[in-house]
Amino acid sequence: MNIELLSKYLAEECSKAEKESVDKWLSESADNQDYLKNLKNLWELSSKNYPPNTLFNTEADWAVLKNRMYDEGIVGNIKTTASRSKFSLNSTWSVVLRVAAIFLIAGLFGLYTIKSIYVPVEETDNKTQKEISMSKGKRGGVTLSDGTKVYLNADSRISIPTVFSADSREVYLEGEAYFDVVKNPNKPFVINTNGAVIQVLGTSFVVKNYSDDKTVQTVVESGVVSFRRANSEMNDGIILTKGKLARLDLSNSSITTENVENIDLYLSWKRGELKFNDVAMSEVAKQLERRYDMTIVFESDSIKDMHLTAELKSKSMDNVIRTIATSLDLKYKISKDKITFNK
Amino acid sequence: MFLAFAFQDQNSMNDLNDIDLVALIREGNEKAFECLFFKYHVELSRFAISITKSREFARDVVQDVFLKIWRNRENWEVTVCVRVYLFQSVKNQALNLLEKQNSQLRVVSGFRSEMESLALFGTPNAKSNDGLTDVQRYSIKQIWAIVENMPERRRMVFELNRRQGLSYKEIAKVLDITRKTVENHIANALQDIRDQILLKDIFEKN
Repeated sequence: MNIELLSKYLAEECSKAEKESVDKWLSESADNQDYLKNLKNLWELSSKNYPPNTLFNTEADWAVLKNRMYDEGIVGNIKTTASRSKFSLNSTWSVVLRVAAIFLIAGLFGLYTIKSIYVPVEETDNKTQKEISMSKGKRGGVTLSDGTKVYLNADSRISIPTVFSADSREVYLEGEAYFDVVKNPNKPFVINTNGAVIQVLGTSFVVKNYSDDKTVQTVVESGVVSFRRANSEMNDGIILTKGKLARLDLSNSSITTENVENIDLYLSWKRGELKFNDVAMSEVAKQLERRYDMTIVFESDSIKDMHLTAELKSKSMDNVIRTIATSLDLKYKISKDKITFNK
Repeated sequence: MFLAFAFQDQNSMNDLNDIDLVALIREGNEKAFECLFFKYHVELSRFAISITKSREFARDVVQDVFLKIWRNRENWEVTVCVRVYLFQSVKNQALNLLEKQNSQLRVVSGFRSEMESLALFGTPNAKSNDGLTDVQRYSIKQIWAIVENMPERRRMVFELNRRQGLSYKEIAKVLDITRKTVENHIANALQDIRDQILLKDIFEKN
């Protein structure tokens, strides 16, 4: 009996005649039955949902998609059209409420565990730490042993224990990373950066703290996060929810928060896009250098104070540089490892 | 009270079939659109990652497909079934993305490192309420490790049938191949799995 027919039989894709011929073959011997039984076992195992989906977070992805829909302004006329349909409940309400409910629960857990189980940062033993880094010009993601996804931007590194301790999950970050943290009320997820401690339950957000940055910045995509100075008490943490940004100024230790209207500005690097909203060229240059592993030179010093607003979706460096130059009316030259802008 | 209503609404939407959802989406019903997204998100994402090998790209691909649907919702014509339409769109979008990425060596090396780290850390073991025994879990891992090394098409066809539950006919439409070819791929995949698991058993027993 050929395996093609048997697999069709297992897939229930046989014609009536084919099914009969398989049944007949089965009745011929116990060996035949064993053979099919073996196949059937593999066949059925292969449809089991295991390992379960931990790679994709539908809630988070929907939030991002919705953001993009708002960005494009393509969710404007929904109210009028929706009220004509038989489902007249205003759609925005239910979404807001559902999300609010999730925040509330996460928030309660968060405050509870944050207070009860916090271990101050200490020196790490190198043998028990694993460092993952992305050099300039690269970016990529890792899945930690608890299922938490970390996506690192260029020129960034994260240090994680080979095995998380029993009561917390602590990592050390330098650079910029996006975290999609798997909920575990008994083991808070703690990110230590130079100057700040960010503590979370289940959530997704971006942390930025390059060694040449004078600030540590966190933007929350969903969930609840506590943000505080490295040497402060746990209770001093500022609680951040979706769409909130907190920034610690390392020069004077002051923390400011703001509402982020377009969260994608802070997430676009994950898709390899660069988005700038009124950003000084000195900062733009830093990001370009990391992204492309090139040195940026301004021949005229005044260029570094110019401000750029641009969405650069192209994956080609040449296109990106050309677009920037055009929008600021600059000239540019690209050589092997250097990009020069002048007026 | 609002909350109760909200959930009720969500549930009544979940009971709708795909054709009704499409009709509502064409009218601009955002709730119906959300419902369609939640219904297919995971299986489409899994399909996308099997093509792109990157979680981030897979995520973008699925989002782009849904964004396009919403953008053109008023003229959205589904001539095949919705499920097939979505898988087709994800396939096309993923292949387009890969084509663009392939000319960019740097990005390629970026996502290779992602796959390496996924392999390094593996997928964590979930709580064991899935009704499977340890032996079964071990076998499932073995099966998918074998599938991972199959030729591209064979792997994709097998995954679409076993993981995403598409029928032979649906797979043929999604991948634009004949039903007969689907049959061949599935048969070869099953043969591969059987042979290699047998081989492993022999080695491990000795």
